[in-house]
Amino acid sequence: MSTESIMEPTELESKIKTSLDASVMALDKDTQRALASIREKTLKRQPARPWLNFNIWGSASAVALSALLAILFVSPPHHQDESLPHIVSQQNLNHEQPEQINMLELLTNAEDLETATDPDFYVWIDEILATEGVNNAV
Amino acid sequence: MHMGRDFDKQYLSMNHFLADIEGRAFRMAQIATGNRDDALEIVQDTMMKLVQKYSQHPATEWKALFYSILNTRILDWHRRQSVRNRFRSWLNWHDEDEEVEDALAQHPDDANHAPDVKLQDSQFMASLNIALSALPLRQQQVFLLRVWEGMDINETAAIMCCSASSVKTHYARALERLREKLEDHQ
Repeated sequence: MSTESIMEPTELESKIKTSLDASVMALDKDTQRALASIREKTLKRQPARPWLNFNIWGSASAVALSALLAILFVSPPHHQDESLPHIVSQQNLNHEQPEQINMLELLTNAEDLETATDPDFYVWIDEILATEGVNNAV
Repeated sequence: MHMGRDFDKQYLSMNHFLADIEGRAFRMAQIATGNRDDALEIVQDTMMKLVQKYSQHPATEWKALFYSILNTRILDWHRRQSVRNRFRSWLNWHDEDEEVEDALAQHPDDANHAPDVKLQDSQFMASLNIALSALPLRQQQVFLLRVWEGMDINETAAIMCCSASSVKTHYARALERLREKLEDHQ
């Protein structure tokens, strides 16, 4: 016989529960006071909130450290980017930078887009760069 | 079967939890021991242990922990009583008067701590007290946890440290006995 089938007399169970609840409500004043007093005494012995507990501070520190590492990983400090040009010699920088800038200006200028797609333009620019290379060498 | 107690009730504090549960815990201990003072002592021990050892646990675990401690305390009380009674019988120390006294003490609500007479069905209440007190301890505990606290079979089994099938058996037997004893009130 399953337990659920035995539990058919729900009415009896409900009646029992209601009576038990009522018996708690009907506890005499002395008992109610005694229970409240026990609770009060018990709570006075409750361990203090563990604000200094290692678990909490340890977890907080771990989260903070993880966040810091994540920030450093995602956006590394700027001086690392700036250190690259210092590695390149100043002479090379002086020669290469204007050429690169000129090329960029040519390629990014909207008015010269048609020129940039013309094959003759590249023949012409090679000649110009070759001439400049000779002049620089001299 | 759920008897409608709010299982997922979130307790804001230990004080809130204890205030909510203390009355029922006291009544359970009183039914089990038949003695008001012993019941209060058991409730005090239970609260103390819960607060000192488990107050840092999540509030959702408090109820199961509380009843687990309470039932252990009640079981300990019965063991002590059993040893005491054996010792008394060995010394042949009890007489007729004392037997009558003990029998009266089995039904605590009959005397000073009777339920309020304004209860509509006070006769049912008295009969219920007698019937519950007369149940074997394990049946009594299972029945009260299931019907009064609305705990399911697995929760009850965890609290009672027994199998789910034992809970079902205890519950079925307890209900059968109560039905027999309370049939006049149905």
